[in-house]
Amino acid sequence: MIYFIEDAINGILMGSIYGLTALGLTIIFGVLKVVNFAHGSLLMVGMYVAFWTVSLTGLHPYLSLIIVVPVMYGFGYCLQAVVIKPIFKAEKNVREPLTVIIVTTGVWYILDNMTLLIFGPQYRSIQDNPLKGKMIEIGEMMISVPKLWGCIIAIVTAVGVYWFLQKTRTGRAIRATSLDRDAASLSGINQYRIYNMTFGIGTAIAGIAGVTLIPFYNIFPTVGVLFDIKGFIIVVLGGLGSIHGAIIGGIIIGLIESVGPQFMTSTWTEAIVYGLFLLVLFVKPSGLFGVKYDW
Amino acid sequence: MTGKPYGDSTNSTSSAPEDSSLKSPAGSKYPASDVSRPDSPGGSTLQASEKSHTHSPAEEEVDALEKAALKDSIGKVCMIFIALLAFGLPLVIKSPTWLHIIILIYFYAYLTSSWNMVGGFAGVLPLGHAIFIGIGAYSSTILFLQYGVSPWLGMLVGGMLSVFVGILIGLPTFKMRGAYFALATIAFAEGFRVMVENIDYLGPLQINGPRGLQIPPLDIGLVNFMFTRKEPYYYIILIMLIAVLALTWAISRSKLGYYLNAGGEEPEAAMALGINVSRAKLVAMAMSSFLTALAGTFYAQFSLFIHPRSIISLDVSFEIAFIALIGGRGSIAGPVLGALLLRPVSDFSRIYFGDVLPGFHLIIYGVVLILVMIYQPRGIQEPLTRFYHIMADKQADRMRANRLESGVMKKEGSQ
Repeated sequence: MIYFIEDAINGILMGSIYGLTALGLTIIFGVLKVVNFAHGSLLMVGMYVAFWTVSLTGLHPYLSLIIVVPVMYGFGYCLQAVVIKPIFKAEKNVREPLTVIIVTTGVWYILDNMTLLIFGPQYRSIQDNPLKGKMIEIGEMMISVPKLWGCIIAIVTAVGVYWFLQKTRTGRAIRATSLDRDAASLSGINQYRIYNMTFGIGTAIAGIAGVTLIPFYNIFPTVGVLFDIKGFIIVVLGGLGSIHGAIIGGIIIGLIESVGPQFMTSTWTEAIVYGLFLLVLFVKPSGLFGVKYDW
Repeated sequence: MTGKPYGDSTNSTSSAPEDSSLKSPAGSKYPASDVSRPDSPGGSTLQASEKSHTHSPAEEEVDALEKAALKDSIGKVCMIFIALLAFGLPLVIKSPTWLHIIILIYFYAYLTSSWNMVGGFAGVLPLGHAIFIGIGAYSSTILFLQYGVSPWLGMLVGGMLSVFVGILIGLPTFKMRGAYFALATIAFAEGFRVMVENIDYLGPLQINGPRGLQIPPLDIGLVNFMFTRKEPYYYIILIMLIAVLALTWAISRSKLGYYLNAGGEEPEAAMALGINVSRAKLVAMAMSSFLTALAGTFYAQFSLFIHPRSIISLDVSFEIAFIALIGGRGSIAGPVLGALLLRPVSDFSRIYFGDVLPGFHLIIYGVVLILVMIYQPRGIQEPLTRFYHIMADKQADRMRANRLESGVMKKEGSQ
């Protein structure tokens, strides 16, 4: 029983980090109405940026956020402005342009393989890691410290993004664009600038997720693919476009993955996750917390 | 967004030959049309040419018809030329490596053409077609290894199973909108892969889980779909490719093609006109999954080793979609052109830069994909088709001019 609770807690912690990786995806979908297939790769880029920041400057892993977040925001902003915007302009009257999915898939391939080309296929992890293998003991339970921090950062980020969208002027503009892009344009909002910013925010969140992962996760060029598919599952489970949906969806997946192996081989949990995903798609495509067809 | 089957089909069938002639070192555009000169139909043109000094609307129409007929025969000659070239290629190319590369080009052109029935005509984006390749490969291989059933029969069994699964997938997913459909197909394919990887024995059937299945090359021969040389595989996949192209062409001009196209572009409007869009899509899905499963058996017999991670992988599903999108989705020539362009890139970059620049070909894929999507959203078949038409028009004009001249001369001679 004690192992069960320990697994469940670790699952919740890891799940909230999954939720954080999916948060950027859900925000980009909410506003741009586009599933960003490159999101896992953006996470991977975030991990590499964090890794090199920590390795070169010797900062504490979590302090690297001050560099990772602006770098990733800029990266996402430029990516949207240069690569994806032309498609939006070409397909103005399509609500959910499929072409953009294809272009983000192209971005995924380019980013992953560029990284492979530059940094090679080897697995890396940060040296002199102050958090390496640290555990908190509660009774007989062992809780991983970097995962606990990851969970805290995930919740703070989600709350921060929620506050930003609800309370600031830019946040209101983003919400307006997500509701009705034409009406937003009519009231003087530059739709494409909002898209750029949203994509930047989504990418920055992927960067934050990368920072929370590097203390206990290996870094390699295709790491994004693992989180990519998981991210899709989480956002559909939680409801595309819903912020708390992403975090809760992540926790559900994390729980299945950590508690499942007590009852079956761990590879079967993967099949269960896919099964759950399909079930949600068929029964309630808007997800657990998504508003039907919209944010 | 998707091509209009009717309009495209006439253009693109005739443009298919054209690019293949670009590829082959022997044939440029001109020999093909030069060949057409001697055997062009000459009977009716003589009468028409006598009148062509004066221009009434009716005569212009006759002119246009005549020109269309000429263009048609140019297209036919091109196609025959390309077919001869394709069938004669193994006589020229003896190197097994080259043949292997060409076989894979045809293989991917075939797969993409099958994908095109759903992904192109029906206007959705399936990203999990590897599931059907897996079903085809596993059915025929298990039947062959355990029961000694000829892979040719196993191929059909795999195809039937695949149709069943395809309809099972299609029934709930075709109701979904764009992104959801793509994600659901990915989930089906990945879920299937995970299951195959985890099952060693399914009842009496040995699936061998993560270790894959190996076919020992013992009884070589046509019955067992096993050959020591590459040439038989070449001809088998070539015939399969021609068959699937012919089928695509037939679909694009059939009622089903129009239904699919209408349903893909404007589902509500199509349904309002009384078209059963989801049934049309299901029929397309059934055909597509059947054909894809056949390719799975081909691949199993060609490589004699199947492994869940290599054949039911997302990479294969994505590559099929990439080839279709770059070539031109919803057109007949698109898949062939896309495979002709992309497969050599991937093979040669793996041969020459494989150890220095790993993953180089995937970067090229990505860049080409983005550029095509931004500047040529209907794929590379569109400019190539346009180019072909300009060339064919010119050639037809030249031929007509020649014939008029000779006609005038004959007339003068008789007087």
